[in-house]
Amino acid sequence: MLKQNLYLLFCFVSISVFAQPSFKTVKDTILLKEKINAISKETNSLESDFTQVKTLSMLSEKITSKGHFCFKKDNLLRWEYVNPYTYIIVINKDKVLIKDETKLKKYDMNSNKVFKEINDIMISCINGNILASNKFKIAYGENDKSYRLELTPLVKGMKESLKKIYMYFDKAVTSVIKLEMVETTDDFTIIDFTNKKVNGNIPAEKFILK
Amino acid sequence: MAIFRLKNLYLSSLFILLTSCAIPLKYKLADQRKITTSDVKPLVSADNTMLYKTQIFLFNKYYTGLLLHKQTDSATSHLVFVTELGMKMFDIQIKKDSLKMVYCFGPMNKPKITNLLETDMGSILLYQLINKTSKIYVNKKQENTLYTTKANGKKYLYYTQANSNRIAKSLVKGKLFTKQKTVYKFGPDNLPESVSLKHKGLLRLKIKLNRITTTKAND
Repeated sequence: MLKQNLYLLFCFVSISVFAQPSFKTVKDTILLKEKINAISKETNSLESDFTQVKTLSMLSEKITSKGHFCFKKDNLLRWEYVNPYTYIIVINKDKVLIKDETKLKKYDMNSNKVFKEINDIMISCINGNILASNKFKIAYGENDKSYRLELTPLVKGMKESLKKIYMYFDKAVTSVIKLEMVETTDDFTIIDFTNKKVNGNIPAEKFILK
Repeated sequence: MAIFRLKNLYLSSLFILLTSCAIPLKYKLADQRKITTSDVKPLVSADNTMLYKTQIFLFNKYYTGLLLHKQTDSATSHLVFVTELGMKMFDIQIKKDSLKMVYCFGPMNKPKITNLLETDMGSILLYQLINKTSKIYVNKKQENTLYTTKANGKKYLYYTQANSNRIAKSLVKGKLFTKQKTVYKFGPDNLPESVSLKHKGLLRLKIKLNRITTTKAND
């Protein structure tokens, strides 16, 4: 389960979304890639509030949760749910820490091939190398309001649970504004990012869990 | 000396055998009939979607997430477990008191595990009691009731709270030992606030549920 969670988590680092009308294929993908690479290079730290809505398609049921995330180069991430439950995942260099209510679990990134791979993907999201990744087939779309990257997983472990990942950027390509993940069961999760702070000072303690 | 030890072993085994399936003396048999929702308050209802913060300890694995119960039509409901990050782990369909795993995430999708989850979730939700024929025992001193049913070589014991139709505790007993214990705690709204299940034996399973109120979830 942790493996799957982390596959989802890596996407959150660089992303967000809003409901969009139809998208047409981007003509100048090189320019878009350059813009995405530029914001990735300029971003040393990032924090944001998020609202996550999970839609269980068969049940027509939505589960909404809210939280906050922090990222700091090179390899520090905190993903925290605050409502309606508390749950924190921290990636601190080679450690994965999970705090569920009061229970703390620690994992060593290097002892696990999956963690290592996920970590590499996460970093490539930040530095823009994700666009050159062979782990996804990427299609580029746009409309009047935003750009949309459609990522189709090619990696075995990810392909079994995720059908598509959509990353939405504002038209000025200043940041990712929404993320949508569609599972193989057609359930989907949408995460909207708000109150973003780019290159702010994030205390090191944020990436330590006790 | 060896014969004495052997005799002790036989006697203690016999004692365990007799006491493990015995009804506590303070409970007196009062009736035997089919149990309905007017006798025992069901844990889930068609009117409410229930959401629980959930911890599942399965063998040496630890899973956390949200457990959702929702009625989808008059005869069908679903029990769905998703991780905090939104990944669906399992989906159990409940139809006419029968539980069937309709989706289970890869590593958990093994017959022993899915069967265990089906039976234990069914037990938590009182499907081994409601609409089943049960012996009804009454404890006049503690003013509570004990319901017992049997199925698949197991004995199910459900204890109510004092002066209430809410189940406080349930036990599932095998031929020799207690295999499973579930404890229920209710909130002021008469709905289960927390449920804790411990399944002993080769198939070790612990489930802890803590209710997330709808108001809180929608804030």
